[in-house]
Amino acid sequence: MPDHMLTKDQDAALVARAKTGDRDALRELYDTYSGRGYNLALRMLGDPWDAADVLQEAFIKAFGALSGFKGDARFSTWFHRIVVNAVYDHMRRRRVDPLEDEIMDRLAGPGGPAQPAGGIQASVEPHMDGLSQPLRDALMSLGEGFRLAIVLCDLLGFDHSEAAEILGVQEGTIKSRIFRARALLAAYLRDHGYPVPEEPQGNHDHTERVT
Amino acid sequence: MTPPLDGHDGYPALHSPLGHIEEWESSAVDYLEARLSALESSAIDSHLAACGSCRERLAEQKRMIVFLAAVESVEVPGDLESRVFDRLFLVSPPPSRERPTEPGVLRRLLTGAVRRPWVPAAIAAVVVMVALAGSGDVIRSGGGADTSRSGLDSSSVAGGATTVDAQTESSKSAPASTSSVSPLGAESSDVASRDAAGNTVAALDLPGTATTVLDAIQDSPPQADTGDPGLTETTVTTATTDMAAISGPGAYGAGDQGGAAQHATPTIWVSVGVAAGDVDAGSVIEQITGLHPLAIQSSPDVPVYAAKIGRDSIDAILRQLSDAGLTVRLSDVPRTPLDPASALEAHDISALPYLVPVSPQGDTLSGSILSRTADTEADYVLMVLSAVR
Repeated sequence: MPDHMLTKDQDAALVARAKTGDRDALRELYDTYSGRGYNLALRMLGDPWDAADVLQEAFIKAFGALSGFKGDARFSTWFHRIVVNAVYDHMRRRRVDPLEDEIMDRLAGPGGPAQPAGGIQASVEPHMDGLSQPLRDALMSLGEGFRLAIVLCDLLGFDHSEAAEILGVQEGTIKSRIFRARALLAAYLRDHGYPVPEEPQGNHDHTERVT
Repeated sequence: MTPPLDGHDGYPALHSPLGHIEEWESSAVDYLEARLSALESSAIDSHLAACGSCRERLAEQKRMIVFLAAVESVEVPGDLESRVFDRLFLVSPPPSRERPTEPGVLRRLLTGAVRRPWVPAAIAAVVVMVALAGSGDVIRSGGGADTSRSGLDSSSVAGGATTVDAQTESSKSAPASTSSVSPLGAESSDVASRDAAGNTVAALDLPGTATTVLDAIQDSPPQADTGDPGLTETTVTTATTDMAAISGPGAYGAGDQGGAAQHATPTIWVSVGVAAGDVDAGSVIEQITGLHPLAIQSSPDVPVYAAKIGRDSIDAILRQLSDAGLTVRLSDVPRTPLDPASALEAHDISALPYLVPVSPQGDTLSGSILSRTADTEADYVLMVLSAVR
């Protein structure tokens, strides 16, 4: 998942060219950052159309503000902060209305929420479907602060310090949000019939960060 | 990277004997990435050796790490690039955001005392989400007698006519001029659409010497359910499973599921959103409800006001907000608390009399939060108000 493809120097050089209006540089920046930016918006908003709108907005804003970007922060941090803000803006604009969608979604029939086809024991395969509905619902059930932390770090591979910078919080805050978000997600998935499977083989006491 | 022996992230180092994992959550995250010092790791090891429940919770963390890492990224839609660059390279003015041109209705409200009748035309809707924990009950309001799905249509959100009419009917303490309550326009803050007499909605008729709604409520005994159609329509939903699942295990104490609106001491999550056209909405909330800002910084995106209120007072507060011309709508969407709420959760709720402030971003106050009381047997709820655009 993580795709930090540019070194800091490459980053800086690319941004410098982009600031002069170099269209190729701008396209390269787009190619480099659109993937993670889109997935960030998508996991936060739960909807591909909204995510596309938000990402478009973010790029336009970022490219428009390039002249003001000083390079004291990393472009990645700066850009993803713009994406996060665009996500927030979108959430705010939609705040009053989409509650109804959520209500409609959650008002299930007499049987409660739909059971997965495989029955209670089915577990969701993350490989098969990048945005499986249960995962999406589970993420959307989180409060935004929790969702952001876990999306940035566990899904998109940002390290805690960059995530903390993007969100403007302490690293300790990020970590504790991640901890809780993981527990909440696990509980949601389990309670909806999608228990997260055990690790395939063995246990490791000190699990290396999976990249 | 070897963290200093005296701790990391600015926290003091962990040492034995450790409490349970909820006291060292962020260290647990580091532990799983082998980023703790040997000293701290062994403190955790010691605790884990003796504590099965923490072992399980850590194992759950590991499962989630692996699971989430395997989630594939989604490809960016192909047309997005052209959307970005067409806009970028064409010379066209950026889309201007629509703003109500009505100057500071709320500002005018504030300078006039709250007691004066007013219609906050720029305040489009108040969204109240009430979930009665453990029962799956949902209290719906603001849509008049119509609590079916169709009642919650988008017109009620933007303060459209349907909602206001219902609200008009339900506003029982209003004087005769209630019948001419002007609709709350969404964008066209049409303040001029008042009745002929220039009156708008009933004044806040606060009993006694109370100066704010909250004072009034706290002064007066809890009111019985008066059957106000705008506020007390109850609907038992079948969303019980949903809600329990969403909030996670253990959120609903005794697991009191099902049943009528009257239950023992359920935990209630309340969130009220006030749609507003300008930045002073937050101050309006303050003025109307008397809730004051908390010292705790809120979550990144939402300005919220929260206060502990007696569970029986919810209806009264909703009524007062309704009487003040704010459209009240309820939903049953509980979410896990955002950070300030979760911070509140960890503390004694009874110690929180005030609100959580967040500086507005630009000219927009927004957000809605549900928080639950830490004590599932609580007689009090956390009422959270926020202003949304």
